[in-house]
Amino acid sequence: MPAVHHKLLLEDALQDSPQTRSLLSVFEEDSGNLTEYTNQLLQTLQRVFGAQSEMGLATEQLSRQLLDYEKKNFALGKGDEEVITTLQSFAKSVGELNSLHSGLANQMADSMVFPLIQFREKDLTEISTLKEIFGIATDEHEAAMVKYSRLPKKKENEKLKADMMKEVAYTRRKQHQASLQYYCALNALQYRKRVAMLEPMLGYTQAQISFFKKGLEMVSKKMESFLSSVSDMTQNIQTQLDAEAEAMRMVQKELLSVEDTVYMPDKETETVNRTLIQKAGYLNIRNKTGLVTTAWDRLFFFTQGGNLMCQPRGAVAGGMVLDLDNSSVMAVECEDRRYCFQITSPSGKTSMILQAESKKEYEEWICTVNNISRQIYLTDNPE
Amino acid sequence: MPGIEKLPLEETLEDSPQTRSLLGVFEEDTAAISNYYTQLYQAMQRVYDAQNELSAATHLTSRLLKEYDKQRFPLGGDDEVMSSTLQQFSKVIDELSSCHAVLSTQLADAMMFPVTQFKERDLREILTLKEVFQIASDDHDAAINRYSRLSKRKDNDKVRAEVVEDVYTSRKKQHQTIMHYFCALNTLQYKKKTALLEPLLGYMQAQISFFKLGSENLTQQWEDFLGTIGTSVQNVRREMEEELGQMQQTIQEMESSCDPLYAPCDPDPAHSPVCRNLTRKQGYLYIRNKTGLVSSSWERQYFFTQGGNLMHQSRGEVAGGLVTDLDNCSVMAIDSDDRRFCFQVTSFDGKKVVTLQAESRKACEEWIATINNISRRIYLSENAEE
Repeated sequence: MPAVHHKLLLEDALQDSPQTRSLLSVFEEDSGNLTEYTNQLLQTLQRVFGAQSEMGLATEQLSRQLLDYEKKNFALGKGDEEVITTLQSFAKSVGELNSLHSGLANQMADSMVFPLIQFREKDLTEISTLKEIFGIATDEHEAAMVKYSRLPKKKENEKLKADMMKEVAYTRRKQHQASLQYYCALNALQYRKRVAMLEPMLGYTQAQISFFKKGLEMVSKKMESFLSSVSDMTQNIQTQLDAEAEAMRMVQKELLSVEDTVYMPDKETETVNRTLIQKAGYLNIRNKTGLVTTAWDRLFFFTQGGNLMCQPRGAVAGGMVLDLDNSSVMAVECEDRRYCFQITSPSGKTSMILQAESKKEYEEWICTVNNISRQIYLTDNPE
Repeated sequence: MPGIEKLPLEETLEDSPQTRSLLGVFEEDTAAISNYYTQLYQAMQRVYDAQNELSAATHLTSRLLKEYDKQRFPLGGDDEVMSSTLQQFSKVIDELSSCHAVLSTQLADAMMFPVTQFKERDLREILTLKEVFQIASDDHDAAINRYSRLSKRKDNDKVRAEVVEDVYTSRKKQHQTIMHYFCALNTLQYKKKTALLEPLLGYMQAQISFFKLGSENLTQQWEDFLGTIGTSVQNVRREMEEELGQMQQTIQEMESSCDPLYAPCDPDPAHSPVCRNLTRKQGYLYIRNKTGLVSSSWERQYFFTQGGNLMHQSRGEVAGGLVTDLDNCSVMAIDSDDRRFCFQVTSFDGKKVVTLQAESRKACEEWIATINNISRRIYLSENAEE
């Protein structure tokens, strides 16, 4: 890099001619432009650093989320072991990536952002401070000169004249010293700015090179073989999914191709099976809710051995309603509803009125309860 | 896949509470999956956003470095090497930025897209089917309720037929929707696995490409370049240290040697002999301006001779302006406004009169002598003295 050409000559500082001031203002303008550019550059580099830091955090969050899967204890989590181990491997790799990212972010902070901040906070600030001091010293010298030039010719008040001369000498020295330091700093800036802009770039690029080297090492053959095995697993699952979907489609088709009459609540032509000893289905049960009011609830009833069970929607299991042993069942008229029957316990204390959905259901329930009541289910030929 | 539970399609017609119970378990699992997936989506979105921001910021850096050229620094004349070095850096960083852009795109396609699909399509479908089934179930419940209330009396066959028709329709609808719903829930047990693995695969593969591409770009060539720059920077530092050292030394010398120069005038004439042979002179003088009939103001300006002319320049002006032609002018000491060290220059034709005040007796005498010399054109002779 060739030597810096422009210099403020220290020897010109005492004379303080307008030409020197002119050159000084060129240096000041340059320093002003440099400050502006440096600020922009710093802002941009801080944005890069910010993004890099965020990437590190985001990667860490992803890794954590992957590890979280295991802790979720999904209700249908059986069979998830393969997925869990795969997620853990991914989490590990993502975690490794995260440390790469964090490392890069740190390097950026140290070797890219920090030197530029230093330049601004130290070197550029120094220039503006020295400029201020020089400005003040100049003004003080000017003020002293004005007073000095007004001193009268008459030989009176010689002490005042002597004091004035001292003040001029004093302010002139201060201005000279201030200007010397100021010129010195402005001259040094021409070197400093080169260092200040190239060092961060050097740091940034070196950090990137190191980052890519480490990254490439990380995503070595080991990673590629892991990924291909995961890809295979995903393919397998997809194949199974497709097979399952197809199978279900067939079942659906089959189930939907039944006679429409299956949806009719009351089929006249159905045959009644009178030999059942177990049955399950929806019945309406009559509840007395007040002196004269009643409510009918539609519940799912099923026999279990010698017991009548009932399960409302939402309950996980059925509860016992009545022991059917030696119970009596008969048809009954109730509230102008069709297909009603009543079951009464052997003691006669408990009874309930139920309504079936169709004639067939009504007859079959009555027969079944009868069969159970007479313990036919205990014979050798249960059906 | 072992262990995957299935909702039995065959039990949908009966629609027992046990079936509904099992459905409840599946729905609970689906809600948990949905919850987990939302968080996963957020985490991936965050990575994706960070990548985009990184890409944009890197690109901006490259552009800013490129614009160094256009900055027009007033002292930029010797900056070609600096400028070309920054251009080089701009190029490296630009290549880096395009690697980042590629990674961004790949993350969008291979990671965000499948995640979004699962969330927006598959999970949403389940919710819709659930709603549809719920409506069908409620409709059926209502229909069967009305049916149960049908009177024994064989009146109003029309109403009876309508109610029976309702039960038929709603029961069929319920059967269809619940099967549809069960199918979707069953396939979800597979989809949820692929929905987890695919985006992660995509993410990893994109990272691999990124590192490969980036390493390709940051070749040995760049490392050599960086080495050169590093050395240059060291050199600049060293030069600067030397320069600074010299300057500080000069400053110290000046501060001691200039001490006597600060006083505006020296009471002892022996210490500062007046030089009367000068044909050039420069320095600060006060010039008197008449501002009104009887008022005047004095302004401090920098004066210098240029050949046969007297020039002046204020601070802030880039160049000097002519005061008066000194050829055959007359100059003498005068009294003015009770100020010391004043002299007056009158032009040859008498039209221009300039009243000036010097800083000291010595300065005053030297200016008068110098102007006299110039006036008599001594500066043109061979024995001119500075």
